[in-house]
Amino acid sequence: MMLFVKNLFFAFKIYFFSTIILIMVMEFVVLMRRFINLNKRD
Amino acid sequence: MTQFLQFFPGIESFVAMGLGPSLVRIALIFLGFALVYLGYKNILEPLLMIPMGMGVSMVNAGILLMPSLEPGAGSELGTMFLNPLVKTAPEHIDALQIYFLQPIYALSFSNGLIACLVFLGIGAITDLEFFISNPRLSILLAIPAELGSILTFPIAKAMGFNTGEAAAIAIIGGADGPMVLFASLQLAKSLFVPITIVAYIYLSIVYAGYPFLIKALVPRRLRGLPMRDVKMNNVSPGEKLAFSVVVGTLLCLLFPVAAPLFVCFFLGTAIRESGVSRYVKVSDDVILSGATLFLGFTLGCLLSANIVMDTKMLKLIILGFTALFLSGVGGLLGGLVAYKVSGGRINPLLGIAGVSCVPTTAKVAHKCAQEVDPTVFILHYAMGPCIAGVITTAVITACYVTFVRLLPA
Repeated sequence: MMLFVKNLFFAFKIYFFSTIILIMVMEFVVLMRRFINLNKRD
Repeated sequence: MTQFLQFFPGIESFVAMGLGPSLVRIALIFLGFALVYLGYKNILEPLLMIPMGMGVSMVNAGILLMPSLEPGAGSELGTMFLNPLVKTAPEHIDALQIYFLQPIYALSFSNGLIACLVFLGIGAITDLEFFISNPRLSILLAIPAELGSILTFPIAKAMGFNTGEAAAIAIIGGADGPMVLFASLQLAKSLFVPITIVAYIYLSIVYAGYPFLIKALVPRRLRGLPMRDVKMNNVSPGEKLAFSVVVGTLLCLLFPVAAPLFVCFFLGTAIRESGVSRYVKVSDDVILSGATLFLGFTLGCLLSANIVMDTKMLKLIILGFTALFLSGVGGLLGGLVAYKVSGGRINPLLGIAGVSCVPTTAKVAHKCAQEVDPTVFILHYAMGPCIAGVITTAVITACYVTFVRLLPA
């Protein structure tokens, strides 16, 4: 049981880490679009 | 009788291998026929199932007693297709001259090239517009749809697989065939054939299976939500190209172990957006079609009786189902949360599209919405989470490969 919980924790660590990376990508896309649209307006 | 058997070495091999393996071999020949039939009838994905079924039935029919590659080892059962067990350089040289599929196996399977070529082709046919137009919605729907990739890992470990094997099996929940192939080659080379075959067969039945899950979890009145209030902005090719170059480079910087996958996918999207039509044509018509054909056929040729008789195969069948089921449940729960949070503007079926498997899950979401109301058109919205699902699975695969390698042996 302890081993299962330990492995589950490891898997969630990967999930958490991936989520942070993906949120970074997501925010990058939002910023990039805002930047490009600002330049278009100028 | 002996002369008759010597005249037909394929039949002689049945006598040489004993009753049990012979029966499994016959079952596999019929499995190959079944795969071709189901592919032909469009019940399973024909692009993969027809070459895979041909490979399975023919490789199991064409077994014969042939001299071993090891000097002085006498004769052994084998085929003229390929030998995945060669290890030393002299054996490789001999094998390349004997087995007709050995060059493809040695030069494109062992190093994951075939998965990368499929990914290049997928990139070239992927329109990033849906994803870039609504990046937050797309990514936030794709993240819960990875539930199977996470929860299957401890279950696989509890069923006796080692860390690398459990991680490779868990990636089936990401519903991306090339990714499963890449992860299993990196983390569980001894199991890459059964893992990949189980993954591809399950991915082929996603189109038929997920609608049942949708009907079980999402009420009918929510399935036909038209999403008229959600805006889709136009995205210029320049924006898509900039996204491919910068995000691809960033992900390669963060996860060099999965760089081949990222490079190939974003190279494909960059080719598409750069407008070089000749490259787009060659990536889709030649590279994607050719790689898918040889991937299916070679995988089929690797499915021999001894792989099926391995006790791990049954566990893989259960875990593959678990992974895709949990990802589907996670995706739909994410979709229901998005529906609530948006005040009823987002169709919860978009959640299932986050499972990836481009473009099958997006089509499933669209089909289920149209069953309720034929005027509803959500395919273009569903493609956003679907493409985000590819990126999410690639990132989780990269995390697994990186983290598992960092663990003490």
